[in-house]
Amino acid sequence: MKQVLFGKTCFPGIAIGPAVWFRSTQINLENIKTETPAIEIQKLEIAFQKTESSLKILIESQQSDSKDISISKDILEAHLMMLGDPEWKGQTLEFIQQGKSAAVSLKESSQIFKSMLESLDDEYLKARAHDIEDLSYQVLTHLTGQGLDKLKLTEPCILVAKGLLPSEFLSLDKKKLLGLIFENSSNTSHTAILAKTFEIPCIVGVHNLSDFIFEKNLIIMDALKAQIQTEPSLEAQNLALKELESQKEESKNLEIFISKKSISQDHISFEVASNLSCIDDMKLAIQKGTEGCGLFRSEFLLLDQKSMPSEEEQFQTYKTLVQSLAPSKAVIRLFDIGGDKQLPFLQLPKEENPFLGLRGLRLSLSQPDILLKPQLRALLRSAPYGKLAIMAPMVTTLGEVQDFKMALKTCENELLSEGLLSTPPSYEVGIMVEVPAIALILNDLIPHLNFVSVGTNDLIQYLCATDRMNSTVSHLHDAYHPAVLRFLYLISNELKNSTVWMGLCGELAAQNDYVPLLMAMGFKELSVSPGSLLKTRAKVCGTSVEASQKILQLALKAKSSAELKNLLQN
Amino acid sequence: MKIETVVHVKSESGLHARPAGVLVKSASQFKAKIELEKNGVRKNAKSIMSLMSLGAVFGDQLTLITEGEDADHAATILKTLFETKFE
Repeated sequence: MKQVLFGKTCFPGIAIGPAVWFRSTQINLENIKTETPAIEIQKLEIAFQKTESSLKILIESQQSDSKDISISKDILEAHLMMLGDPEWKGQTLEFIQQGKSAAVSLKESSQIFKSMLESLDDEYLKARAHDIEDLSYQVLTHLTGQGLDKLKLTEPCILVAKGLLPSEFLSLDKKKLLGLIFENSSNTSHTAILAKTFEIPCIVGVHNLSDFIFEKNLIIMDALKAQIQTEPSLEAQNLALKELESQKEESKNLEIFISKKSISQDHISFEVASNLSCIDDMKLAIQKGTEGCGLFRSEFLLLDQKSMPSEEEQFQTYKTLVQSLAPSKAVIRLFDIGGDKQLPFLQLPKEENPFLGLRGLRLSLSQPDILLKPQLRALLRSAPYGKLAIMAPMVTTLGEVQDFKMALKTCENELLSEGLLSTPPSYEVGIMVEVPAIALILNDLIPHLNFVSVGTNDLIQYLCATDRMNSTVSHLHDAYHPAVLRFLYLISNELKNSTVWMGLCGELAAQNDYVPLLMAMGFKELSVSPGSLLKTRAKVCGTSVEASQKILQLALKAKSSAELKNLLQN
Repeated sequence: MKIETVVHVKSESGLHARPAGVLVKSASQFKAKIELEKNGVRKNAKSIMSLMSLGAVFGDQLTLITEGEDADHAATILKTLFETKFE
């Protein structure tokens, strides 16, 4: 049906192409053996039972989940009722009696009912065809055992999904991904961050996607306007293609900044660096002329792993990173696990509030032999290959900083006595500023640190007490809240006139209107996803720090998010 | 026993998921064969998919056909459901 849908911009850009649903891993029925009708019927019964129990489990799990309970429960209950539909099942059984396999029979009978609904004039009922598709897919996965494999993209497409795990995203062929549309995912989920990294236009938080977007249908997405058009007219298609062209031209115009240094109009030097999750990211960032890495998310080394990577494996990655980025800096963050990034092989106890629990440095310090020491040793061994900076996440107290530095010293001495290091390595030590408590005592930490880097995503989450993954409150996760700006200003004052340099590695550094404020506050390093690098650098080059300081003074007086945005736009 | 009853769709959303769901749940309790007819097309009222594919909208006049031992009782109950807009 022709429809315009809205969501939230995650990474801007236009895409036009066929929609491919993530959940619909192609189930191949070609090599399915057909047994006697009696056995096929039995198989069907079992698959129905399994589907029914997984639906019931899902319905139950909705009760503990606060958002959109009634809607999602209604949908699931409707699915449950459809599963018990006598006509659907009767038709399937009839096909089985004709000698077809249970899977083929189910697929064919589903097709009959789908077409029946699709032929109706009522848009709502038409959309129910998708429920049948959804349901028959679920039964088919139980019938065939397929559908748990990873999705393989066969042609350039716009991927549509309820949500996507970082590891699932990472398994996709990014060259075939024209765009991404998610129903649940918040703007700052890790998959969303990955979308930015790979510069894939991405819209998140679109409600009831499955009612409107169907497999293989052509759609247009304008991620900047956070708008999706289904069944676009020829005119709309041509317009989109034209805009796609001008977008390419704009990014071409930004290319001149690849070789430029990040120097303000009044000749003050900055570094526009990249946030990286893997070596592939790094290659992209280097192509874009990155001035080092402001955040390497080392925990991505652990994703999809069955066991902990060894010190040697870690060392190889860190060495490649440090060496390839030299003479620029490589800021490598210690594993930031816990919170929304759980690891199966660590078997961490389930926590009520993982974001307030054992994560980041807290976890590393609690498991020194498994997590902290092997990582620090691997990092220190990579130091001689370039300019290494080690950064600890989720730091709350001075004591933690001291423990972290003590562990570094111990590892260094071990490596020297083992001969794995010939001379004491030179490197920088810093922390992420995400926990509001640490921000308020930064002045006390000056003697212990070379740098701090503000992780704005988590800082805002903790400052505003807002779960950024929860779409019902994610509007409160707002970088333009006056408190956020004033808090950043407070951080800069804590470190004023010290040797501790300040960086910022949240997505805020990619907000063009915010960049002058960050420059005025003295953030020397702005670290963004590689896709935003040139835009941020162009902004830095076009900004005068002196003039921005005046704007900052006005901005600090803003009383609301709207007032601040308004001020920055003019 | 076979009973034909005329019913009207008074729920504004027609026979969408919720009303259709209520109807199917109720119809399924009876042993009788229960069908709804619109413009000569008959569908099984115990099947949610069939019922939705009837495409009944607000204001439609339908024929409820119940056939079997409890046909009479079924007709009375289901007619009431139509009257009360499936609330």
